[in-house]
Amino acid sequence: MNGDDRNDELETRVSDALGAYASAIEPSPDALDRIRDGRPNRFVSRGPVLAAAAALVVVVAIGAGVALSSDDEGLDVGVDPPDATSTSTTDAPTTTTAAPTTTTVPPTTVPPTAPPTTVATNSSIFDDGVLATAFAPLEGAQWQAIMDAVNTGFGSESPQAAGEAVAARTIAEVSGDVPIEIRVNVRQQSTLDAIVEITYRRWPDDSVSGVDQELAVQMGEAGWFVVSGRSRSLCSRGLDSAQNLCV
Amino acid sequence: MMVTVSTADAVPLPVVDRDEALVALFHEHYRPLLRVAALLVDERAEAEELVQEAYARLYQRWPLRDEGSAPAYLRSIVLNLARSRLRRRVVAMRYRPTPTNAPGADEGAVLHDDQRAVVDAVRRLPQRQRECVVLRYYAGLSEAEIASALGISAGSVKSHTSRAMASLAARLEGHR
Repeated sequence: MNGDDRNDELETRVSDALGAYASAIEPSPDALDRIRDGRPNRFVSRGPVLAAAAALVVVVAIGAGVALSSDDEGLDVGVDPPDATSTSTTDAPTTTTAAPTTTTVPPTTVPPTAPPTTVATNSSIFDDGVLATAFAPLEGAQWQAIMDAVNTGFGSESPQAAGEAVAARTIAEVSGDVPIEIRVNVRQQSTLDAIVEITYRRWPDDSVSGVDQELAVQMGEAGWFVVSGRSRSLCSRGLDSAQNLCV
Repeated sequence: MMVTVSTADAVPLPVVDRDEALVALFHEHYRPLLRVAALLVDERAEAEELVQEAYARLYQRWPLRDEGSAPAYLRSIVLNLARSRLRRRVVAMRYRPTPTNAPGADEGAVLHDDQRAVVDAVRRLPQRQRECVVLRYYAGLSEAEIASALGISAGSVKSHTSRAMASLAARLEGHR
């Protein structure tokens, strides 16, 4: 069998397999009604999830004194920020090499009901003006809670390590189409709380130019762990502001 | 087996009423679009959701200046939503293990071992390569149509498809 024959055979195998797989997929009986009524399935299934997410954010805010809201408000742990550390990786995003972080901060008391402080979003995330300009989110981009980040990196030796654990897990879930620039940065830190921001940039996907994540991490008995998180997409072409989706 | 969902030669719809247009577009294109979406996002419910979303958007924007472009418009929305959905899935960091009894998009499909191996291999392709393979070998689109639907050049389509097939060949070698 020559090369062309093998290619033809593979194309046929792929076509047949995809066809067999898809042939079992049938529309739900009420699909047309849902479209006509303007209530695709998501409106039914996601409402309680979003409500629960919002509720958990509030609980975390009250209980821990450090939390991330899912709107565009900024973050504040109520303490003076220490020297931030950051690491960057280029072309090898699966190996975020952490520079050792040594941060000594005196114990502080975090008011349990400290309201979040609004900060200039771009300047707070991007230290250099070039990045902030090139990847400024489109108007209407919203932060969205990322509930599954909770407890990630449990037992990490530092907020930086907890953030890198999140970044590593994120990248591990990407199959090939990975960002080629990642930065993990501890923006604020006290003895027991910290804010970690992660930026993913230069995705080889032409609809998403980057993703921001912000994590609230805490020191527990076993080490640092994530207590809440939020994310937003930066779209290169356009944003569906209603759904926070790149188009 | 190849299903053609090409819209390049779509005949302009003779209807102007958006309800009539919606019904016509639904009956003609919903199922193939749903199947393409299921091949791209794996989960049947998610595929249904995003195709319904695409139709809902079209419905809200009706009438279009060129009603004949509606099928291509739908397809582009579905592809963009699928891509964004996958991106969000990554960003959402769904660390929870998938329940082993969770129904997949192929629930009910009877696949031979080789077919299942091929589908699994396609699922492991990078997203762009996967899109090109699904649109080429399931939907039967031409390189130009794929390029238009994905907003990339025909050369990129060729490159992604070529890499994808090389990867599939390597992964499926000896499996038959």
